[in-house]
Amino acid sequence: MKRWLECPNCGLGFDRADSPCQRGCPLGRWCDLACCPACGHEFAAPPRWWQWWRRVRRHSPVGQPTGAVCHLGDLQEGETTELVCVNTANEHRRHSLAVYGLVPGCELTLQQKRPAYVIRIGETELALEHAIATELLVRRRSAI
Amino acid sequence: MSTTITATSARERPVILVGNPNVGKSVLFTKLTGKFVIISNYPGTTVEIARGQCGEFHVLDTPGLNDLTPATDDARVTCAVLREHADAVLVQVADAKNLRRALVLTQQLAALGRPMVLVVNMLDELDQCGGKLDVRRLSELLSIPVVPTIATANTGIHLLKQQLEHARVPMLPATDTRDLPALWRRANDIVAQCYRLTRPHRATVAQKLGWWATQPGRGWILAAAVLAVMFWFVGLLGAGVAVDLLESGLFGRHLNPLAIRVVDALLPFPHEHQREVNEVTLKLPLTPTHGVTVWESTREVVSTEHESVGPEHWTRWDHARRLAHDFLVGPYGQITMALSYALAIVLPIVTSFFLLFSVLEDSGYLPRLAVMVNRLMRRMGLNGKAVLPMILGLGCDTMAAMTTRILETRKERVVTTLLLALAVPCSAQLGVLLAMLTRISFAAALFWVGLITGVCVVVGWLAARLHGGAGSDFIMELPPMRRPQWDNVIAKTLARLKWYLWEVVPLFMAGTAVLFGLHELGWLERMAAWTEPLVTGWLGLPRETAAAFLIGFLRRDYGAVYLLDAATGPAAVLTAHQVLVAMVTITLFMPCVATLFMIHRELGWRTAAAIALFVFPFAFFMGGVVHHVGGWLGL
Repeated sequence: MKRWLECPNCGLGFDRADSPCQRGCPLGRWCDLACCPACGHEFAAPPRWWQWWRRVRRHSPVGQPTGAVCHLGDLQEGETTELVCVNTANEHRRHSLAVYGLVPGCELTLQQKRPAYVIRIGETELALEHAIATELLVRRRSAI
Repeated sequence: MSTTITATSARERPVILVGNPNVGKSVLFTKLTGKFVIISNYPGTTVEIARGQCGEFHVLDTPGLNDLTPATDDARVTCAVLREHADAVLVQVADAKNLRRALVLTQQLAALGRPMVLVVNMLDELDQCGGKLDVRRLSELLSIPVVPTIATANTGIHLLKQQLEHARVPMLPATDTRDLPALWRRANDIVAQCYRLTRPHRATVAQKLGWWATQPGRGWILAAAVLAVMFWFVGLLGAGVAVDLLESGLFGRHLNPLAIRVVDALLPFPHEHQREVNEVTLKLPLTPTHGVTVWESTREVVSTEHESVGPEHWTRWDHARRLAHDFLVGPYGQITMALSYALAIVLPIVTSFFLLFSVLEDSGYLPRLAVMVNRLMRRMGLNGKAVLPMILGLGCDTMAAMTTRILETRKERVVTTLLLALAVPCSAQLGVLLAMLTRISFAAALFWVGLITGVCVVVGWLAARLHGGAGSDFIMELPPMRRPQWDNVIAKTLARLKWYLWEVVPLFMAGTAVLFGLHELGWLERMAAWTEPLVTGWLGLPRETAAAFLIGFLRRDYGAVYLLDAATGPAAVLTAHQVLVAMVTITLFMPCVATLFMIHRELGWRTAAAIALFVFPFAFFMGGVVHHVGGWLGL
């Protein structure tokens, strides 16, 4: 089940599993810290019971909060979105994507998902494999 | 500080063409220097530096690169050239449709502090997209000359030659050239001031084809259609009809008898040539076994085989003349075998393949095929990009071994090169194999295709695991689909044919000379006897085919042509089962000596030796397995 968090620094809504500090950390889900994939700000994630209570009191939405990020794979083919960040620790990969214009804030259109992802950034049509596409965190157009 | 370099100092400087991949640098190079280089519609066509002269300027064409921290070997070549020629004028070539990306590279090049000219190429395609570019404004913003061109139509080339003397160092605010987001932001700012691009409302046929080519259902249908066209054009028309016309019609009926008459007149000795029936058929092939016959003719002609008359009374000179006669027009003669194989069999096959391949290259289909096969290639420890050198290997494995430079890691280069050496037949061999396919059943043909694909996957998978090291990400730019330009297709085909024939004819002549020598010394029979346990025992092939494998060491297509003659020629000795075994063995052979040298040059002698030591025994091993298992399966 997704656990939605909101970065107190930049206001980005994201799933706890997308926190970059989750990867390779021996503490895993027992750690209460989260890291924003967009700005890198580290903050204490509110406990589950507190989130549950806020939902009961309707202080926070039940599902995905408005403005929350999702994976590229969650989009429908043909949808246009804004790239929030490339959620990877692999600097080389981040760089390889950046030379094609895949930098935070760029607008991209998902053209197809299978057999490989094909996206359009400006005038460039780019094919990516599934593993890379899932690292692209985007914000839906309706949420922009 | 902007400086316009003077005419005298500029004329002493080299000019380097740089730019993103697939923006038309090589077309521009050809137009500037008049020197032909291979041009295609996919990133990574140029992997080496090409040099030429434009007036008094020394022009260098470089492989494309996206930024100055290169990831691949070909881009490293460009960076090395930029370092080496510190005084060079840089001509950055940009795709007018993708100016934003070019400007990121412009900013990085500006930081080098060299005089520059920006060429905005493919302006016609920008017009078709409904785009507009204010060239003067762009020139003001970058403070360098900007030249709009349509290189393929020769538009703007003259202006570029003039502007080379006015190259200036760009005046752009200093930034960290590794901070790509900042570079993109500034590129966006510049583009906003001088560039407008309106997306067309309706997609063109080429765009639709481009989308279909990467979709799961339609993409495979398109791939199957491309394969079918290739089989018909290369296997049936090139290797069937054209080879028949040239081999039986031109060589068998005219050139060989003429050469025999001339040599008989020049080198007389008591002998009598046998005569044979020569059949020539011109038909339009529909399937491997059916076709519409347009014209056919049968005639009796002089054969290369001859009977000596009274050899016991011959003088020493008679023997010498017989030797020279046989060296030229005997069964292993330079004209009747070497030239006949090279020009009547290999040439039409290679021509038909290169013609079709050039069309495919220029259409922009190949990168889309890479998208389709990426998952399969992942199983071999590679990624979809590796399919580009492998498809190029269907043209010539030697060229393809060099093109593996577009792959990012050494592991990928080694595994791709191994697969090229092992299981990717070159165009000459492919045509011969497709012609041999007509001799076996459909099930056996499927078995052959499946086996070679299976060998590729298993050997690739094992090699990737044994080699270790990391693979690279599959991030591939898809160029727009374009209608191929016929003048470029023909020029490219001719250039490749010239390259190929320069390599093939001397090797074929050397191979025939070796065979002739072995035959005259009686060693061919002896060697056939030595290899009998392997060829007859293990592979189950007739003794005569031993020579095919012997010369297959020199060039595997030469060996394949020899086998084709044994399978479909006038004196066919192979059964359908033996044809299958021979096909598998010769497909898995090392391509040729030239490929081995190229692997040595690209990856070092240890890797080249390891690949050769693996490939030859493995080919015989698989051939034997097919003989025994295929016999049991009843193929």
